Amino acid sequence: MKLDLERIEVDRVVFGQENSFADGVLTIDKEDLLENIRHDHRITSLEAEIVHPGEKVRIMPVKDVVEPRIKVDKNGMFPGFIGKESQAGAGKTRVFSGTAVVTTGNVVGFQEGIIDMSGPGADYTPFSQTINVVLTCEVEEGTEEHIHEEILRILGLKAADYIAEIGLDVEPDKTESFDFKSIAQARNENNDLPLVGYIYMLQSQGLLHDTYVYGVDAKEILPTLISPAKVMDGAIVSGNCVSACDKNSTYLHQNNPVIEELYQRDGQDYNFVATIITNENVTLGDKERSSTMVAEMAESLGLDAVIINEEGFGNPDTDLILNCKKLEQKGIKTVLITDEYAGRDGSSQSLADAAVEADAVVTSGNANEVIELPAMERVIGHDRYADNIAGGFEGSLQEDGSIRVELQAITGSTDQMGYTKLSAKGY
Amino acid sequence: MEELIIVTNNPRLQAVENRDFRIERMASLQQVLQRSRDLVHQGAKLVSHPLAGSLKPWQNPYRSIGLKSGEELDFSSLKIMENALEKYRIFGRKQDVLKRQADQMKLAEDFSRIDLELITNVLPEKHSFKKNNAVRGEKIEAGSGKN
Repeated sequence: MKLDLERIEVDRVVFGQENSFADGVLTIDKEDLLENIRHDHRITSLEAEIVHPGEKVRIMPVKDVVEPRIKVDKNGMFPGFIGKESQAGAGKTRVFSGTAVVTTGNVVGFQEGIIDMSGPGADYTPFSQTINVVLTCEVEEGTEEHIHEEILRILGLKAADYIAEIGLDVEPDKTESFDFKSIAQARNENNDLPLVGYIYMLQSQGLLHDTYVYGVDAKEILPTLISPAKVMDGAIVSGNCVSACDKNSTYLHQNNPVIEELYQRDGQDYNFVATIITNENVTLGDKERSSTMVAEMAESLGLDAVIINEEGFGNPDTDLILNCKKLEQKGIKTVLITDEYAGRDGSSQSLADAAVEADAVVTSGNANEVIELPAMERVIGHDRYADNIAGGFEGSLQEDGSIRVELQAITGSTDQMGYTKLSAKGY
Repeated sequence: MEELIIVTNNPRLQAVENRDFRIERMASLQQVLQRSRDLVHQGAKLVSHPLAGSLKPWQNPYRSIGLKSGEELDFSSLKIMENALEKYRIFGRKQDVLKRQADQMKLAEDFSRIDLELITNVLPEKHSFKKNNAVRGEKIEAGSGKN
């Protein structure tokens, strides 16, 4: 299955009388956008704002970030939510590169996360570099949290779909083609390169920790193979609200850097032949079952090595280590990508679990590191949540509007798929 | 016979009485962790993981841990409990401050809601408490978990 990503480069986004794109400027009819995405009777207010990189703006609390993408035949993006279940992962996908839809709203009182569009905090989040259409949505008082989360989740997908549709009449600036090969194809190439797979872990622990695959709650799935091209077409959607630094927002799934990097060197250094998604459930029985199935699937595919990345932290550290141990015990080499919770000075044990088999680990940063974020001219959302968000602590919000937080509070700062600038270097 | 034990300091679970599982109520998160570790030493096996998912060990003041009673020491459960206690020792000193803050900010309801969501995963499928209350997130009233 071949997928063409047709990119339109965007320099500016503005609101205007009608939807259009010309000379790098994307114009959105705001009233029409809001009318089209307002999908639930429980929404009491809905507002959209545009922010560009470098503006003195803080967005919080961020719920999800979504990249505007659409299938050129209009069918298949976000399968199970927007598109048909049979369509994703092939054909042509149109992308407004450099833009994102950001949803905000507090499902619970201690919710993260922060995107600063300028200042020191901007260096830590990839979404300070995108032009963001920020949606602020309030729902009826008393709306149950699962419903609230779902309303915001669907809102983000609908907005991304609405905006991307403007690109259907636009000539794309460049096209990237992805043609992921099967194991049979790799064998036919008759090279001696190792067979490499990707173990793609998804948070799945209930409210604020959920992920959806083709519209299905990931806690209900068994580990399975998925085409990476389907991931690019929004087959994996985030229902996560915590924790900001290392939850994989929908945008990051759409742009998964592990998949893209593996594809770049496919056929040169290895054969990239399998992507296996698995979950991170609460019970130890679920953890054993999923990790056993992952290892057996990798073995039956004949994989020589895999990259594994975690999502979130805490008890999912156990899923990461179980996957690693069971794969290594079958002779399949593993490289893990994880962030660390090593205390503010970085000296504490980084993970809640460990194993001697985990001898190749890439860090994506210490989420406990403290950073000062100066006050911004404008806050979209509510900064009174600064004290409560996952990385905040008592007195986080200073009188002058500045915030002292751990990196944990910043959206995407220690992303474990590596969509971040943080790592460790040896000197 | 194996018995499901929930060790908890979550007020939403305090009022639940039933025949399907036993609730041991604790006054603090530290007590929940220590009591669970002690039960493991007495042969119980962990059913749920003692660490929260993506909230710091000390951030959520409420924790419920599911165990199944048994006769033999399960070393895997013991290792997980000791690791969880170690994490608590590193980060737990902030517990009092955060509990106070949570109370001030009226976050207790949200935190106990998240803990309830996690522990709901280990409760028997047939249980009315799971079907009728937890998944819809309604407040738990005294006796609502009775069969």
